[in-house]
Parts: sequence; structure tokens; C-alpha cells
Amino acid sequence: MKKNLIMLAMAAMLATAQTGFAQSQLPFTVKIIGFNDYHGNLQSPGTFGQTADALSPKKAVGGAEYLAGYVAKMKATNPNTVVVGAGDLIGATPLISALFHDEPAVETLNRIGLDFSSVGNHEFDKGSVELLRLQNGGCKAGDANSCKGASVGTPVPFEGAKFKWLSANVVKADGKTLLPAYGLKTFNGVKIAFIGMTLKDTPTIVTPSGVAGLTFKDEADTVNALAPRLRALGVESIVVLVHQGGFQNSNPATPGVLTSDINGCTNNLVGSDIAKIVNRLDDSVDLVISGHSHTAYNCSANTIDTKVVSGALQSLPRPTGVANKVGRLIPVTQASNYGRVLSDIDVTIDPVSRNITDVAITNKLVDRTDATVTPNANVLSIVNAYSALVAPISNIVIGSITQAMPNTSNVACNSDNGQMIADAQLAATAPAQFGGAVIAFMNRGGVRADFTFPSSAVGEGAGNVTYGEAYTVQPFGNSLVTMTVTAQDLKNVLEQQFSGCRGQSATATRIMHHSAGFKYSWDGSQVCDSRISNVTLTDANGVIDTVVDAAGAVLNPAKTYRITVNNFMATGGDGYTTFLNGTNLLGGAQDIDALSAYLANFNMLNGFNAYNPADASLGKPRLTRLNAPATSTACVTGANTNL
Amino acid sequence: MKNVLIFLIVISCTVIPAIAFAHEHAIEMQAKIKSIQQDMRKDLSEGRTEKARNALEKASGNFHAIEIELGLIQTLMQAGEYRHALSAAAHTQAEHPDEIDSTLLYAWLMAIGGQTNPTTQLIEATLARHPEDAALTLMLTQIKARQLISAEIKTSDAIQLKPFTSARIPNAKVRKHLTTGILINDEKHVITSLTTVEDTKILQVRNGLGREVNAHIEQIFPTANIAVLKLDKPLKTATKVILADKTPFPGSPIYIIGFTPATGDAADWPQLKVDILGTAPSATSGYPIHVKKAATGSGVFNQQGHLIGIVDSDNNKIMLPLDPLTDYKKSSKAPTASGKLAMDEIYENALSNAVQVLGK
Repeated sequence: MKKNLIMLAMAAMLATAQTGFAQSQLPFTVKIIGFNDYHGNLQSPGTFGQTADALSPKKAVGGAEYLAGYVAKMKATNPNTVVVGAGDLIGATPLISALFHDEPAVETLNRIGLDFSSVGNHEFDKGSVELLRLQNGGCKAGDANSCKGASVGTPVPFEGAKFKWLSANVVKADGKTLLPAYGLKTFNGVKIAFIGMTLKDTPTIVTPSGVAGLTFKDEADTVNALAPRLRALGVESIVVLVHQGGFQNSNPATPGVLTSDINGCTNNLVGSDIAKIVNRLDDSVDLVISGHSHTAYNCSANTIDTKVVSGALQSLPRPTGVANKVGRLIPVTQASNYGRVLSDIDVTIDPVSRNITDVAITNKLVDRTDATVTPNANVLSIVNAYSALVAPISNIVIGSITQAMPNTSNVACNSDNGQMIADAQLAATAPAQFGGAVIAFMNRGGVRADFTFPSSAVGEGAGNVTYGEAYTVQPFGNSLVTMTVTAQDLKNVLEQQFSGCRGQSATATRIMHHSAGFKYSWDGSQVCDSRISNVTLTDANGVIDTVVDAAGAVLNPAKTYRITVNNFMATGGDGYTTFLNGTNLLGGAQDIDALSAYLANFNMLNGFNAYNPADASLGKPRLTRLNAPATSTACVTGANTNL
Repeated sequence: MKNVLIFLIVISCTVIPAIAFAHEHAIEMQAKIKSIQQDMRKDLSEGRTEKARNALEKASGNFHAIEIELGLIQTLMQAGEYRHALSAAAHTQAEHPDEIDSTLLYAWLMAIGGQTNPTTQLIEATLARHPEDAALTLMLTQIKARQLISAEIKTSDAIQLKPFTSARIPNAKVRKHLTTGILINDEKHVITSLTTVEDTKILQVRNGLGREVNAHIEQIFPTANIAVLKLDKPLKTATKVILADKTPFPGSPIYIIGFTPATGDAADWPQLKVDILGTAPSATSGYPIHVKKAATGSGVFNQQGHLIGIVDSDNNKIMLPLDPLTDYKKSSKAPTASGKLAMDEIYENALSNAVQVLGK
């Protein structure tokens, strides 16, 4: 019985194995999604129709988020999918990509799901070194417009292309190709090779320095030399991605009556550059995905001839292709440009011969009005973030300074940098309609950088402060809040700055920056609630209001003051929970707006004097430290309040 | 000798006809391109933008010619699609970096949209290769002076730095540029600077698409120096202008969009300048602005693209807030969720909603 059971089990296993073997012998399909000449069109390039005829409705097309959505939808129909490009994905790009050295184009293509692309001529616009940077990642040294990943949410500085650029016919002086000649994908154990090339005339249409030291070889010769090598590796399915193209009506002097349907192949591309290449290709090549001419065509078994008949468009099937060197018709496709069209290609593969036995191509508009397609929210978010960065607001000079103001403080914790920010916040909220504030406090941690003096790469001029520089100092986008607090609250919050006092962190001392007219003394050697003294507020007329006397007593505890802090502090941030006692809260400007408005009064370009942090009118020093140890060299920030 | 004769016969039978064919082909191509250009100009001037666009798109699918690409850019601008035009111009310029027309058009589109730095870099790079080019040199001078005057820049016939228009309304024989205005509400009202229009009986307004219509003063707000014009018929806008509920805080980034008076009564595209709103000395005064040459009546927009005021005059650099226009604000509600708009979108909207106010 036991023996029988074992035999039965073995038989079952054998049957299962045979069934699996039989399944793997069945032809299967691989979906290839192709496009070309993206040219960094992250945003929709406009409208496009199925044909160039007025009868064909124009639809809003393209945009990186829709390209990603269409690719995802197509991938969902077949797990065996590969996404490929035919060059010019970068270069000759709109400002949204060009300004950032085409890093946005690469980052969006990564998320669209591109696997391989041939290089095109425009990949060499900025030279082969820059192309390799875009492939491998890394920042463009010293350029503020490179590596914006953190700002746009990629979130690494610049990740480089996750797809592979291919350059079979671009050869370096050492005889090796600049980038891999081909890429391989394996489906059901069968390898498909994608050979990537650009047009051999690339050196004649790009800046010579961009292609220095490189040789661009003949396209057909390159493929024909590679094909035997690939076959030796067991590859029988070969797809060519070539950045060269043609037109459906190559001779405008004798126009055809057809309407250049995106699935048309008027005149079979006769006389075009792409046809001349295909005419010389080895018979092992099964499919050619082309680019460069920014046209759409589909020369394959699925070609249709579309023309106007009695005022309406009429399409008739006309299976065709472009003859290779032995006369076999090879499917050739191109998908317009700028992400307006995708080539949806189903190739059937015979797993025994490992060869492509059938190719079905349909060029499809990337139709933004198609409700069945979900645009990719992550990609859209990146596009929108770059769109915002394009605005030249960051280069506007908002003011000027007489000297650098580093983000540092002296032993008493006075900081020119932070105190200017507090002055700006007071200025923004002092008018009655904006809050009627008399004091502004700024948390030290909210000031993130120095105000530098030399001119930056923007070229604003030494001493001038741009909006972008100010934003770097105050990057949090906090809004100002003006509130009413009592004199006792003032004393308490000043005490609360020191570690362990009134709920402040035991490991942090956080002495705030504050505005002009307000002064006090602090003694880090004392204990909680006895460190603050001599708190005074001097008004515009020079009248001094003593809030806390030299002994640390609050003279009029119930007296109220309007003060301004940012929304982080107003909600108890950085341990300043005393601000939660504030009443009559009034929301105000963003902190960066307040700083911009304040610095506008010190803009040399508008005829004003630059801001001088040493000006006597600023009422410095505002903080006096008592009993500081002789060894003290800096503002205290940690657990020890008297370091 | 015999060999030479055979050689000559072969040459005369093969190479010469081939050259002749290529020459004929090139002449035919040029004639076709010229014909397409002429049709485009006529169609755009007479308001048939879609027809022009279809013809150019069809041509671009059949052969490659820079004239066709430039024509498409002009057509996109005429259709009010600034962003698409800008994108197409970027490509055409990079594809044809040494065709001066492509650089002139792309640079101009960037400059009028407020992108001063990249425009300057582009022109300087092109001038390094073509130092003798007068048009590029002049454009660079204008950009550095923050004073763009399209009429002064000579281009080839392949492009023009302004909208196409031929439609002059009958009573517009003697007129001049008075100011800029902004179309609001039902596309039949324009707000503008009062002092520039109050003494003018016959008014017309024309937008950045070259479309124009008669107008008259309907309401004035003397203390605010604002006039509201009523149009004889609506001027269609791509996106209706929303009047901001309140003036943003001083220090906020703002966009100022208007037409330069230096162009006179010729059709023109508006210009955008980026600025920071200044602090008002008092609650009743206007808000300081800082940019040079902000044209009188220019619309001042916040980052959401909402109108917050108009420029008082070329000289005093003051933005007049819209506080008195309470009724107009009520009929121009912002959507509840109103995020920031990209600068090029704000400009694109202004192509149809900013108008030149003309009069005599």
C-alpha cells in the first residue's frame, strides 16, 4: 500500500511537471510600451488628434502624471511588460526641466516606469559627462538649481536615471560604447534584447564639445554586427530602439490624400531616413521603435489608411511594414513627441524558437480626458513642486545688509541675525490692524542659516539679500500670531527658557531672540524662576516701562502686553507652554513675508541704506548676562544653564 | 579620351538630373512653406486660429521646417496657450540654436512672462556666437533695463513679437494707448486707473489675443483713483479674474501684469513682473511696489492668481487696493480651496484678461 502511494505521488508529480512543461511551450505575449522625444515635457504640451485633419477632435494630451497613469494601466493587462524610449528624453526641454538641468525629466521618467531608452542627439546637448551624471545621479557642483529632490519630494538630492540609456553606436576612444549597447529582459525564460542607438549624424547637429572623443557609427552596421553576438548568447528576439525617423508624407510636393493618422504609414515611409536604415537591417531584428522626427506612424500589420470620404473620416486596414535587407516587412513605429502618444505593442514569442512570431502595434493618444486612466499623484506632486520652483521669486532682492550676519550668538545670547528677524516680526504686527504688538519673540531653532554678504550665484550683488536667501534662513513657513499676555506671563516665559524650568526640557536651554525696545538680564547661575531681572520695555518716545525689577519681582503682574510669536511657539512649541495663556489671538503674515517687508526698507537697489546691525537705533545689547563664568564662550543651549 | 567621354555621359545622365531634382524639390518646399505662412497670417489676423493651427500641425507631420514650428508657436500664443507656446518655443530654440528667429521668439516669451535671468543667459549665449545681431542685442538691452518694447525689435517675417490683429473697430481712427485694465466679473467690465481715462470720451480695450471692443466709463471711485469701464460686448477670457478678499500681508510675493505704453496703440502682449508687496504707510494709502516701469493700470495679482489691486501710475510705484470695489468682490468669489498658481499660468490667464485701454 505504501509502495503504491509513493508511486501514485511520483506519477502525480510527473504529470504536474509535464503540464508545466507544456505550458511553457505555449507562445506568450510581452507588452512593450514605447515612446520617444519626451524632451522633458513634464506638463501637457497641449492638444493633439488621432489624425492631422480638422475632423479629428483635438484632445488634451500628455503630462508626466498621465503618462505614468497610462503605463500603469497597460502594465495591469500583462505582467510581462517592458517600457522603452527611443531617445531625446532630455535636452531641448521647457524651463521646468531645463532650469534644473533636466533632472526633473529623469525623475519623472523613473516614476513612469521606463526600463531602457536609446540615446538621442539631444542627450548630448550638454556633453557626455553630463549625460553620465544624469544616468548615475549626483549633483551639479556649485549649482543651486541642481539636486532639488528634497524640495520636490523625490526625496533624495538627485537619484539619477533608474532606467538604462543605451548607445550601441556611440563609441569612446578606447573602443567601448559610452553606455551599454543593449539591455536584456527575460520573460518565461526567454530573453529579449533591446539595442539602443542614436542617429549617426548626431555630431553634425550638436555642439562639438558635447561629443568630443566619441565616434557615432552607422546604425544598420552596428545592429548587424551585434545581432550574431546576441544570437550566440541565445537571444532570438531583438528589438531596435533608434533615434532616427521619417514622415508619412516624405515628399510635400506630392502630398497623399491620407490624413497622417497616428496609426497610418503613408507611402510606407519610403525615402525617409528610418526606412533607409531598416532596409539594411539583419533579418534577426523583429521590431523597430523609432524617434527624432516627432511624427507618429505605425507601419505594421495594424496599419490603417485614414482619409476623408464625404466629409467624414474613413479608416481601412492595410497591413504593411518596412522591408529589411532580405525583403521581410519589419514593424516600425514612432509615437509623436512630448509624451502625447504611446506605442502599445504586443509581441508574441515562441518559447521554443525564442523568437518573436507576431507583433501587434497600436499607437494611442495619452488622453487626459480619459476617465479610465488615473494620473499618478506622486508624479503630479513632483511636477507641481518644480513648477513652483521655476518662478523667479527667489532671485528678487528684498533688501541689503552692511555686513554678514552669521547664525551665531555671543555669550549673552545676543544675535544680530535673530534679532533682526524679531524686529521684522514686530514691524509686521505693530500696526493696530495687524495686531498692535509691542514685543516679538523668535525661537532660536527657527533661524536656520547665516545672512551672507558676498554675492551668490544669482548675481544679486554683494550685500544684497534675495528672497531665496531669506527663505533659507526662515524655511518653515510659519505664520505670525499676535496675542495678549500678562507681565507675569512675560516673566514666566523668560524663566521657562532655561532647562528644567516650568516644564522646559531637562536637556535644553532655549533663549529666544526678541525685538528692539525690550531688554532684560539673565543669570544662569541661579535656579528656576530666579534667573530673570531688569525686564524693561522702551516705547518709541523713549518712555521706559519696567516689567521686572532688579530683584526679579514683577511690578505689575496683571498688566497686559500684545506680543508676537510664530504659530509653532504659540502652540507651546520648544517648551514655551506659557504662550498657551495668550488671549485675543490674531493670525498674521508668514514669517518670511514679515522679513521681506522689513528688509524692503533697507534695499540699496531702491535707494535706501543697507541694514546695519550695529546701528544705535536698534537698542543693543538687548540681553545682559550676569555672573557668566570666565570660561564661557557662547550662548547656553544645553542642560547646564551656566556653561 | 573615350573614358572621359563615358565619364561625362554618366555624370550628365545621373548626377546633374539628381541635383536638378533636389533643387526643384527645395524650391517647391520653399513655395509651400511660404504659402502656409501667408495663410497662417491671414487666418490669425482674421480670428481663424483653429484653422491656422490645423494647417500647421498637418504640415509638421509631413515635413520638418523651422518656419512651421515658429508658426505653431505664434498660433498657440494667438489661442491664448502661453504655456504650450513657451514649451514649444523652448524646443524649437534648442533644435535651431543658430536661427536668430527661434532665439528671439523664445527669449521674448520668457521675458514677457517674467523669467528675466534665463532669458538673459539665453541671449548672451546666442550673442556669443552671433555678436553682430542687432535684434538680440537690443532685446538684451531692453531686458536689462526692465523695459520691453516689441515695436523696436526688428524680426524677420517668420515671427512677430505681438498678437496678430487686423480688426480695427470703425471709430478707432485716432487713438493712443492710455493705460492697462483688467477684465473682471462677466467679461464686460474692466477696472483701470481713473486719472488716465476720465477725460477720454471714446474708449476701446484690446486684450493680448488682439481682440478689441468699445467701452465707456460706468463707475468711478475718485478717492481710490479707480474707474470701472463697461464693454459694449463681452471679451471672452480663458479664466475669469477673481478679486481677492483682502490685500495680502506686506512682504508677500506679487505679480504685476500690464502693457507698456511705449508700444503706442499697436497690439501687444502683456508683460509680467515679479515683486514683493511693500508696507503701506497708513491704512488709507496705497501699497508700495518696487519694480521699475510697472505700467499704469497694471493688474497686481497674489500667488493664487487673484487680483489684489492695480498700479496707480508709472512713476509713484503704488498699488491701489481694491477695497472700494465691494460689490464687484461679492460677485467674484474665490473657490474655497485656492492654492498657489504657477507664474506661467497666471501670465497665460492675463493674455486674455489684461487689456490695453485705448482712446482719443
